[in-house]
Amino acid sequence: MTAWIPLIVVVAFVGGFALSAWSPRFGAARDRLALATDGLAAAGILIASRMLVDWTTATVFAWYALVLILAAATVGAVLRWHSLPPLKDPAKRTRRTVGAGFAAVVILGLVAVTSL
Amino acid sequence: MKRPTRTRLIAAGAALAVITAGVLAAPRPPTLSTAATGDTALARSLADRAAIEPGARDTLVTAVIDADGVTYAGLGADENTQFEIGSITKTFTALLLAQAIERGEVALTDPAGDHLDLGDSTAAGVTLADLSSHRSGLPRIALTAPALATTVWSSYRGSDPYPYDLDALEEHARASTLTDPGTVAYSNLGVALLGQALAAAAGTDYPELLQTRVLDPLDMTDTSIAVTADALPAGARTGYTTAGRPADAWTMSAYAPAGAIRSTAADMALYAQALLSADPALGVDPATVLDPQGATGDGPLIGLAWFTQAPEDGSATWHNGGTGGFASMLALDRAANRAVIVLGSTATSVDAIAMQVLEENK
Repeated sequence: MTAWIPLIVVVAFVGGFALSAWSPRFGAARDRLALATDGLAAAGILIASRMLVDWTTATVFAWYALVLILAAATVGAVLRWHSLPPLKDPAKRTRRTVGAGFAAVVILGLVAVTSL
Repeated sequence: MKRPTRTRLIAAGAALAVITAGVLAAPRPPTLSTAATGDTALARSLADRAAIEPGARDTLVTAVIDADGVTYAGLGADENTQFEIGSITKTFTALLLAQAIERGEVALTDPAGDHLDLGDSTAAGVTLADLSSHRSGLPRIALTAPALATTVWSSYRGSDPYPYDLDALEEHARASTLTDPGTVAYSNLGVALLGQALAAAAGTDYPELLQTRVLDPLDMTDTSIAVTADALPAGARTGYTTAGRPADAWTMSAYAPAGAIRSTAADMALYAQALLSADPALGVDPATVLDPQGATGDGPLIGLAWFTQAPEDGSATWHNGGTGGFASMLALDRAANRAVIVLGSTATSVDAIAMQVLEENK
């Protein structure tokens, strides 16, 4: 069962980005910073999953499905981008920026450790 | 809402880029090679048995040694293909122990602390015999928090879990508590200490000791040990985990005496033949390492590293091995003068394959 956990995590992140990009309400990104962070997280976790998921000849189909979902989410993100404000609540600029920066460092670190 | 054509083109381009990168970067789990080498019937037998233990397969090779000579077969590999043999390395360390006793460099009853900087820790009093027969009470691996974190991460990352120099190895030993000394509890830490103690007693390092006392005399020219990743030859083979993920090479640094040798089926056949025939090139009577020693109790029958099946289970004397990306098994039927070697380039066990081939060729 534990072997499935990494794959479930990847599905959650890629699915979350798809919601962020396409959903009209639930889970929809409220600003560009959130959309960019969700996209980076989804792509980064998917790249890291090459090393962290037990891919077999059966489960490798899930990889292609996740790539298609990520591509569809990317289309949604590009189309939604111009309709979103850079930051929904400018009063939280510092906190949001620091949080997004920290998330980016963690994700890029994970990608680096698993790929280099 | 109507969107500009430029935005739609950017979206389409981004999607195409994601799909292209996703296809190029797709994981490619291995499947067992169908390219048979060597003896056709034995290769077919290998292929038929490959699935008896679950897990990914990539390449396999076997050697069957009997009175008629050596028969090789492989799938995607042949007798000259190099594999990590993992813990079969421990039998080489045991042979070095027997040789060092014969030379008067050490005694079986020497405390490890006589040869290594173990201070006044409990590990300092463990004898070389107990290190070799896994009766020291030392844990399987170091149990310090950083070492455990490294082990867990390495299992996910498929990397070498033993990146420790001699100082770190000695620190691991000093920090260990002994559990039920005298009973058999498999310990990589213990055999690593043994190998380093033997090297210290001989005034050299472990790779040099192995090369001059075992590999050269037995003419095992395709067998090597690199204790750092940088020392590996360019293009050194790597394997896959049981789940099919790519795994790094294991070079094991100071832990090398417990599992860092790379070898071929042809060289391992030379080793097996030497053990079966009591080849003088071994430097000692092989019975000194192969014969079970000490009180058995409920534990396995074990000599200096070598395991012997309980009589009700068979008659094999054996040692297996496993690294992040390779699996190995060497089983001897000493009474029948036969041996079987199976090497695989995934971490999926080859124990059952080897035992079945050994039984089949009776």
